[in-house]
Amino acid sequence: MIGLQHYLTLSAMLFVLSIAGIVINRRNLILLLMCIELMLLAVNFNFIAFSRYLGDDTDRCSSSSY
Amino acid sequence: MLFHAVLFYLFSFVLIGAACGVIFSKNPVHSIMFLVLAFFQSAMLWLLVEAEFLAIVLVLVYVGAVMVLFLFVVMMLDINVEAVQRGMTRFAPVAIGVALLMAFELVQLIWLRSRAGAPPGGFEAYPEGYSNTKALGSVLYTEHVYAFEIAAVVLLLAIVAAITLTMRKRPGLKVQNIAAQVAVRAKDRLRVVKMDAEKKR
Repeated sequence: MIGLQHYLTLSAMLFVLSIAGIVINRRNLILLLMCIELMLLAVNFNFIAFSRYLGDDTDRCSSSSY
Repeated sequence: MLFHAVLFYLFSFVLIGAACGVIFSKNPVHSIMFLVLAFFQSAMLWLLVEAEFLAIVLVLVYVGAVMVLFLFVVMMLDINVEAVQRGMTRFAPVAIGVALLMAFELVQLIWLRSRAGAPPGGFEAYPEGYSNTKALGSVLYTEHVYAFEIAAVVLLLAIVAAITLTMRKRPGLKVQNIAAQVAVRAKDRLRVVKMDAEKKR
């Protein structure tokens, strides 16, 4: 069963990868911005997973406004 | 359910691979293409949790607008590939160390701490005829309408600020003087001359 933990783990892996990307590509501003986009994507994964888990649409609103 | 799990793992592996591609590829254009792939996979994963509206918006707005903008910027700036490679070899051990530490901590937090509470299970099914877009709109425009409007005003402010920052005065530029145009009166432009009527011949 795919549940909250699976989505949170995926989001954590994305977040960690984007942090590694920021450290690796810190000379290149465009790549840095792209890593920040990946980080925002991870945050949105968290929002959506929790919204689905709690059955509350407020989280979804905040994720739709990023 | 098994099919669902297979789809989840398939999309997740492609997503993680695409994220690695964003970070490690030498060419910034390839990074952007990998980022587009990552966004598509995320949209698929969001569809799996029935967040259809956000998935479509992610594809339309992010892939359609933001990524194209990134491509424009990269192609205009013409980034030096050699410098990127040099930075990569130097910072890679630090980055991998930080990433492994954070991954270990987060996975421990998610999996080990949650074992004490509720067991890991699937999401509860939505009722029949549930519409994600409708639910989102009904919450966004009633309960959170102030936050929504404030966000809109902040975005407008950002647009105005960006335009103001990029507008520069150039010498020899012919522009309208709006204040002078508005302040002008009819008597500045028009003169009524009194004169006798012409006689008929």
